[in-house]
Amino acid sequence: MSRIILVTNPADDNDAAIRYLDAWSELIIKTAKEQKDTLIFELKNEQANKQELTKIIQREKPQLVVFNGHGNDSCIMGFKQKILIRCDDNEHLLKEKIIHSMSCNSGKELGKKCIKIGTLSYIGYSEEFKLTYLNKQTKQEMLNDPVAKFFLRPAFEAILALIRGDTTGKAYKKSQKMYKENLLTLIASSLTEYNTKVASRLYHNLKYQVCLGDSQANF
Amino acid sequence: MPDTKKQPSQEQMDIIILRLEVVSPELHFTSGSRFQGFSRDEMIKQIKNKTKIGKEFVATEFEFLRAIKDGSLKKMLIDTND
Repeated sequence: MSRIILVTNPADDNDAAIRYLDAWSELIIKTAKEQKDTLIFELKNEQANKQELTKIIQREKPQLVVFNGHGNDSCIMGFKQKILIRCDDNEHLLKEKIIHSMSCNSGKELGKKCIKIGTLSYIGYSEEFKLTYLNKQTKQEMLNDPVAKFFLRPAFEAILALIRGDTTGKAYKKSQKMYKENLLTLIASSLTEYNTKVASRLYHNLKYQVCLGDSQANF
Repeated sequence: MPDTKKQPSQEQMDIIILRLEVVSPELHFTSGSRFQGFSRDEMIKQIKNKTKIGKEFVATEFEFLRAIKDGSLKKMLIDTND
């Protein structure tokens, strides 16, 4: 195994957004398993803490780290919103790695700081990640949620493309293309109970998704 | 970024509430580092009560409506196909 991925999934029963990300992470695991040379480590629920993250990063040296959790301008959070990575504290853990973070706003300050200290590339969001969904309860229902799909399929496309070996720049472009296709579908839809009211929030994610660092970097 | 600090006008809030009233009541909304998602009716209450969450929702809606009006949405979508 020459390629190693680390994924954080700090799902919490009371947190719908993170439970959806956790359900959708099955796509990451499936895609990683399809690669012959890829090993995946997942920090789930309470395992998604700073100590475990530090241990896995130092021991396994993953080249790609995927954060599925909350965050803000200067940090990425894990289980129960405990901090995993914070600006001017431990961002050095992400040095020489490719990062994908769903954490809201983390592309604004933390992402830029990471690039400054040697992170290869960083795909994330410089504003809040918006999700509109039908409040499904089981993992399978969440994966099939026809509204959440508009938001999560493009977001996860960037991660899946990275795992398949695309450069960061190409992964970002694929994700942006899918966001735009979904936006067009919604705008053109005659389903008044969804269409433009959902489109406005998808437009937000499209607009504030960022790709920082070396666009030629690949996993 | 959407201007969430500026107080939305009553007219702006009324427009967004009218837009929300026609969407499916099954829709839920979440954003940012909040555990809680809001149903359509809960979001309407947030807007009526002028909470931070309600104001953010209105700001996001108006950012989109402005992008339609000023052509930036069209430009962005055209760029997609290159």
